[in-house]
Amino acid sequence: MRIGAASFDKVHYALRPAKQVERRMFLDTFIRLTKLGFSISNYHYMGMGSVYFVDFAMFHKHLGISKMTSVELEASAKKRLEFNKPFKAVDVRTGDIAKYVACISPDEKYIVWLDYDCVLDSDVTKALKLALTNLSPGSILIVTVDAMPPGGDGPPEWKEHFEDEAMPYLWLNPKTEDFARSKIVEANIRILRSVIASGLVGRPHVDFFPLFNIWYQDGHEMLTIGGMLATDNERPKLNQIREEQLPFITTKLTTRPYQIRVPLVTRKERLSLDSAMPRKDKKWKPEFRMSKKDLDDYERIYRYYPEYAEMYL
Amino acid sequence: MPDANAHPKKRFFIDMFTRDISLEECILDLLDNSIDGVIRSRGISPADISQSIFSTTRAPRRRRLPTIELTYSQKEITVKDTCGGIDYDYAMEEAFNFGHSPESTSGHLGVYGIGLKRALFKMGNYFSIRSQTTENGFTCELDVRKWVKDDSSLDDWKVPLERISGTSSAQAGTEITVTRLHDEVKMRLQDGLLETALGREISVTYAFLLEKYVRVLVNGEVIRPYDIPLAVARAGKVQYEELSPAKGVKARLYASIAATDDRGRWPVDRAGWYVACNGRIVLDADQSALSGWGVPPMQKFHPKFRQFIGLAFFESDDAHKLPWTTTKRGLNKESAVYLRVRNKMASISEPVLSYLSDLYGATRSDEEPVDKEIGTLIKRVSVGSVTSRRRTDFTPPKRKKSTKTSVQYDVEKEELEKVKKHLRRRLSAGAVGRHTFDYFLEQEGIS
Repeated sequence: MRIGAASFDKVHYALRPAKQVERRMFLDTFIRLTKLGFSISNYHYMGMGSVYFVDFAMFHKHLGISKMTSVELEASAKKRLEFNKPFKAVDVRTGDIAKYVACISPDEKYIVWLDYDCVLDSDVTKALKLALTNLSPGSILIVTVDAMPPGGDGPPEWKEHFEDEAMPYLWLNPKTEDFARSKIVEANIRILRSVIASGLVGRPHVDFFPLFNIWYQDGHEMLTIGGMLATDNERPKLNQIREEQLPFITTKLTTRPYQIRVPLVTRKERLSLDSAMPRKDKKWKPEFRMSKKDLDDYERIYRYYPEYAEMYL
Repeated sequence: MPDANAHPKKRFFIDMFTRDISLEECILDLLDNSIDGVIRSRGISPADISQSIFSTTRAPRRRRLPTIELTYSQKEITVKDTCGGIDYDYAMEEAFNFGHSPESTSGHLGVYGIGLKRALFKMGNYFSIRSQTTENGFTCELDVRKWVKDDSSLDDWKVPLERISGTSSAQAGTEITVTRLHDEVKMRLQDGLLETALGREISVTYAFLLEKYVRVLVNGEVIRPYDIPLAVARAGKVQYEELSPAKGVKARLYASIAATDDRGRWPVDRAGWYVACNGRIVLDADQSALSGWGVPPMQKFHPKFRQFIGLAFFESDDAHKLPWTTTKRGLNKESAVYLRVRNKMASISEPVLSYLSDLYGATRSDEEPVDKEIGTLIKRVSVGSVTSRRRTDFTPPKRKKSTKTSVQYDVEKEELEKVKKHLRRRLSAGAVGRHTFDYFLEQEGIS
């Protein structure tokens, strides 16, 4: 069980550029999936909208999704959540998302984003496993966790956390080194993979077709794994997503996730960079100094890069 | 190439396969055998049994039910039924085989072709069987010790039957008597607790069959069917799901709130999962990992879940496909059918468990939760009346927030004694805490 401040008390959602890039990547993917024959606009979106509902606004406006459920852990925040919901169509619920995931209708297709702001724990694995048990084929399931080390001073304590919270999903004889600072992301991925496999036991014709395996750092390191529950009906269509040239799409859940890096550039620099994108000539260089790595990273995300400006109203 | 001898030995067989089964299970095996007779002779299908469980209308009471009478003493165990009997040809070809031949269809409850033999060998050294259908019949007597001695070739694996004539349909049935009981069986039978335990076992195991298809008497007493205490929370609905985990197998799952017993309480031992295969309960009030407790995503069983009732019904014309074990008291964990259903069981439990958790708040696992206002929130229902419901949200009612919280801390025993002595009163540690707290409130003028 998590104790502590609700995540919306920690940071303003809109001001996390990498997270916003990630949301836009999802949006882009869903648009491609629509093109490939998935009627995403009829999907039911279940997420954790917090008080900002950024993802809800995006998916409603750009994808036309109108069946939406937002679940927030803090029951005491219900009034505030209701007040802040951007559209009437958003059904706001409070409590552990697990119980709502357990009631998912087998006749509907869903996008479920278990968008946690905390480190992986038993609540995360529970909700994820229940989602895998219940989601109908064609549904999309995404899980995001904080991939920083959990509480405690070092690998022995971190190992303890994962043993307490995710024991059945750990590998045989976990060692302290497996939870070294540099291995925490890998450990998270391995656990999530194991939850996915375990959630699909009993559904012999359904497998998890990975689409996202994303890692980024804005303030905190976050890890996202996502994909579609696919049968022979969905797989041929889904396979075509590879041809869509989306650099962040990963069809394998390896322990080396795709990294979103958002280089810091000024507004003026940005305008100049954008005018050269996408680069035809890879040798092209901006008029100002920018490392090759930053330039490459920028090219990968410029389409998703949010613009923030202060407004006086 | 010469072949090595791989013949079975009777002694080995009898020793091995009677080892892991209890006397109660043996007796249930004999009852299964009789009930299969009813099913066979009256052409009842597993679907009919399900129908009777899930129909909302009460089945008309049949005046004359086939009966099974179990009686036992220190000398003998007898099971006598009017369940239709065993056909002579079937007895010759199948009934005494160890296992069923591939082309034979197994019974609905007797699956593995082992229960009857195992039960007889387990209980005593001499048995006699007399069975009559409306067509024909047979008798059989076997001195087990003698039979074991003749074991030079497979030709000795025979049981002599004598053909007799048939009888009226009201009389058709089987009588099995086991004598020269084994010492350990005699000791068990002497135990005064056995009768009650056996009665409960029978009542639960055949909860969906007793008084509908068959009547069972133990030493002359009619066993009433166990009433699974299913209720519906007024705030929620029964969680229900139907699926087909394999070809020809149907599974129906329910999760809901338990009804109270006659005294308005929820005994912990009635809560948990009930699993039935073809109408026979194989797991009752299970609170172990077998039905998923403590296996993620399900939590470990906790006393606050004593209001949880889960029901899983498996049904198939081919009993081999069902996930029961040979003792039919438990689930085969490796059964693909069960594996396909287990995550679903956890899933439909979740809203009910989270409802109960919400009602009780966080309770320490070592303390007995107090029954709360839940009693006014439920109404008792029959399994049949909830079948058509789809699963929906299970929203707990708004409850008043408690104005109280508990204060706990550790003190040195010596210090506690000092305070007690100072107060010159014999108080419990809790009362001392309360007293000192009140003292503070008073002295600070904030009470």
